Amino acid sequence: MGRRDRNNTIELIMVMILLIIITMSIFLLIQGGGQSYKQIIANKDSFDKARIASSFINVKIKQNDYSESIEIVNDKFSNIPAIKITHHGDEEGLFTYLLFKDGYLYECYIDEFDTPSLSLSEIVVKVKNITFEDYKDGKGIVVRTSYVTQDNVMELRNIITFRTN
Amino acid sequence: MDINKKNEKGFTLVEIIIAIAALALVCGLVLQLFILAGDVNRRAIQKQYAINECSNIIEVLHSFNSLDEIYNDEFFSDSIISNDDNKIEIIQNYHIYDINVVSEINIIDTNIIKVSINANKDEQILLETPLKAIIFMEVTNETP
Repeated sequence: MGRRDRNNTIELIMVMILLIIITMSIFLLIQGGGQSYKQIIANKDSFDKARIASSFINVKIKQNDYSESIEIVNDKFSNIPAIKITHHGDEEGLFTYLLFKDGYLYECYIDEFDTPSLSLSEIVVKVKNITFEDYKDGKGIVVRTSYVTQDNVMELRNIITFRTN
Repeated sequence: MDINKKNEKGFTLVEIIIAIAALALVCGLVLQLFILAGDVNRRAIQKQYAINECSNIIEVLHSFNSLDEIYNDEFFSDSIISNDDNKIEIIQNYHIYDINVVSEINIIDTNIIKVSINANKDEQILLETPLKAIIFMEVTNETP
């Protein structure tokens, strides 16, 4: 083997090693970038769903904010707290229940002759967790919606006060 | 002789290194985009959180029958409240994202106030709400 051939071989091996190193680095970087991007999307998705749920409840309450129309009940869905909205006007005799069960926000829209149940309810959105609380002795409702960001469970608090009593 | 000429047509080590460096630069720029996307998303979530809390402040103020309730309300218990003639300033800190919310209340009349709220994060403005008028009134029993 001549000196020139030997140099060419060493050069080729070095180029191959460099290529392998850079290919692996690029692969790892892109994989890491892809993972972080997936994480960003997952965080955003979780927050958006919490916001959708919170906003949905807010709008439902604001639309039906009439005297003694909105209350939190515990006895309609086997001890699961639910917001009960009594409709007025054209929807007299109809009720809407909003409740959280097994990772979903449900809406149950029924008339006075039906018994509220999950089978009569529709899924609104999948969400980590929702709790309802009475605000200042019936002055409103506090809705706490959970979302996940970077493996931490966070809470979005939404205070909805009634304009009527 | 012919074999050596064929070998000379390949890339040299310097050319390969330059090509790899250029590739690495492009990859670095692409990765910067991921980092930027993360920052933008984090800021969007913080902004949305601030919007939500500003909305809560407005809602709580709406629930008052008079402005005096501000000093006894649980919602403002951790806030710094300063009173200056016809102006009340409330500073609240939301530890989750370390967002400072400053509410400026201008007292127009005994039952009318105008509120503007600013939310800041790291001394950068996240949100500025337009001036909103709130009228305090006794809760009514409205039915349609």
